[in-house]
Amino acid sequence: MKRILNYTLVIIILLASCREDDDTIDKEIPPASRSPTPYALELPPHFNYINSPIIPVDNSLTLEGVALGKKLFFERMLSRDNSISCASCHAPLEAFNDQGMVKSIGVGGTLSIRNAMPLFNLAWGSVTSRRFNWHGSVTTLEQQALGPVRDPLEMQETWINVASKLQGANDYPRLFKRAFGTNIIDSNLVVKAIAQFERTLISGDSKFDRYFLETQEGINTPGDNSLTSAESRGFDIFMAEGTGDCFHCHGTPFQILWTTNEFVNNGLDANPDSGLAWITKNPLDVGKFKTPSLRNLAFTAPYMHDGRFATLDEVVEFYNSGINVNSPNIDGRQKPRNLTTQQKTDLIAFLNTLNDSSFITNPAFRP
Amino acid sequence: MKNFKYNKILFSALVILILSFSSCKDDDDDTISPVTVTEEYTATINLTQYVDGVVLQMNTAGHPYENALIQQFNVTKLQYLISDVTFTKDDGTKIVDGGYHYVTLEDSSTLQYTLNTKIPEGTYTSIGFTFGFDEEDNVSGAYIDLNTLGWNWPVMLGGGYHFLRLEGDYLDNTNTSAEFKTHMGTASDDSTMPRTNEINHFDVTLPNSKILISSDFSFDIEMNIEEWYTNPIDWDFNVWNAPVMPISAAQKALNSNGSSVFNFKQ
Ligand code: HEC
Ligand code: HEC
Repeated sequence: MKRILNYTLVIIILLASCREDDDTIDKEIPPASRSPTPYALELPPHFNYINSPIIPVDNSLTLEGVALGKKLFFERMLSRDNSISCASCHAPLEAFNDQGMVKSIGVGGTLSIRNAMPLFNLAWGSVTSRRFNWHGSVTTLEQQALGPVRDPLEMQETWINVASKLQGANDYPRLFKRAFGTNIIDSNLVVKAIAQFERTLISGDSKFDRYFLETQEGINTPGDNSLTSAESRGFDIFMAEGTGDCFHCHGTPFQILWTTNEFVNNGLDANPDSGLAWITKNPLDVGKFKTPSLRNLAFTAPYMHDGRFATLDEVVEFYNSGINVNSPNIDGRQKPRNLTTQQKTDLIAFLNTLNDSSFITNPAFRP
Repeated sequence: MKNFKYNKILFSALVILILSFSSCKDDDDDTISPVTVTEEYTATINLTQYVDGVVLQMNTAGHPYENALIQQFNVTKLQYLISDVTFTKDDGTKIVDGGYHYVTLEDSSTLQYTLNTKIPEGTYTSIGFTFGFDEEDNVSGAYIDLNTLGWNWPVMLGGGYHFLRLEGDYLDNTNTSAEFKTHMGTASDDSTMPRTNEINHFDVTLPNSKILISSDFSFDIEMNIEEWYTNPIDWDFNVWNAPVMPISAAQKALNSNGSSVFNFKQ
């Protein structure tokens, strides 16, 4: 996949590079209509252990596009009464989540049916399923961003209204012109810009990342990042099929994202919500939800698609003793773990090494 | 974290730049000199799966299959890895394709594997491959596509990658449906301190795989699933259901049973 992506890039650039005299033409065009500047994602070094991010060919990242996307992400005009923005439910300090909210709150206090998802490392989408939202209802970030605006439980606005509000605001037409070469604003360009910004949200600087860089790559990182004995025992429990067995769904150190992004039923309910089957209509997908990343859990409580668990203790106790083994389509890897109290504490200590505080405080992600 | 400067994108940009210079050259230095060449052909492998001679049906209701101990089971997941496909001539020379291929029944595009190496025309006495990765290739973290899939084998169990994930339900000795997860990779023995880890791939020479190659060609590598569970060791689902990754004896049993799992068909 990576190779294919690189080759397409090569081909595109080859084509471009064989044209003549681009420069001379460029000079005659006034600066405002110059083509936007390409934006190179800055990846933490160990992210080269996994496939390159998936960037759609028709929406490559540009400085102007990302900056516009950020502005739109924090833009309250996207909602019916100009009261909320994407960031109202996806706040930077909470790893782009709404910590503490079991179900998200939309315009006028309406309650969503699901717990908001944190937003980071979305550029990797998913290899196995390439789907977004808990039940996998959309396949691209562009498509995803269309949803919240017109969702009757979220921003409750029409795209026609959003476009005309933005068109009338004094700075947006100019910014769209810079990013996309046109000052006619429509939903398609709004979601493209937002998706560009979302793809820059990269989280890879937790304690465990630093520990991995030092031990695996020999790269020095700031501070003492050796694991405590509890964290290290917790890691072993996470990785052991006989005890925690978390890695089969939530990934390994080499997998970096700490999720396989697979849709599975982890056995929360005896009669689960339809989950992925809501989209695929396949009875074998009933109860399957997107496996979330375990990065940044300290900032994203409560947990699971309906926010049913307030703490990591509750989550771990669920895996320990609360699994509904007779849930339809439950994953073969799910059965009660029977951990000791010490093992549970150790496991949580390890999970907390995946919190990335430099991600939540990154000024590049602020309005 | 200011040393996060290394950047794959920049690196590819450099490669692209170099390539683009060379690609704009005029073509007049392409003089053609006549040489005799052996023709080389493309090999496409179809990966197929059977139980007792019948095409595997996944996610069936009930437990339609039986192992050697007459324990009934079904299959809900099958993923595996092959590498180093090798063509051997009667004089012993070998053509080895050093690549690897991951198969998952959830994605039908993985059921076909076209080798990068072109195979010179001629008669080959046999075709073989490595199930999993051999010692040289089974390096933790070395393959980005497999890392992305989370296909790694835990480092504390010797590391490298999974070779096989075969999962389903069986009827246990109380006649209740229970899960099994036959995962294979490095064999790791915890009776010693520290654990001793043993390589666990095996080399397959496909029976009756003599082949005359004179054009692009394809053949099937058939997996006979029931053979994982017998020949020589009868696998008892009641004992080895899950987890089996940390059980060295189970890992080695899969290794010995594995030698009769694969067939050749053209
Ligand atoms: C009212 C709260 C709310 C608002 C406002 C909101 N979201 Fe969300 N977001 C959610 C919830 C809840 C989910 C989970 C949805 C589901 O699974 O049905 C979600 C899911 C997502 C996801 C999927 C993440 C993944 O890993 O699959 C993305 C991306 C996202 N939102 C982006 C946005 C953007 C962009 C906006 C603004 C246009 C936005 N959200 C506005 C609550 C909100
Ligand atoms: C069979 C796959 C699977 C295994 C194994 C698994 N999980 Fe999960 N995990 C999931 C899925 C799927 C969800 C989301 C479920 C939902 O909300 O419906 C989830 C959710 C979570 C969450 C909530 C995250 C959030 O943002 O809401 C945590 C924490 C978690 N798992 C930790 C663990 C730990 C710890 C283990 C090992 C003891 C583990 N998981 C094993 C599939 C798995």
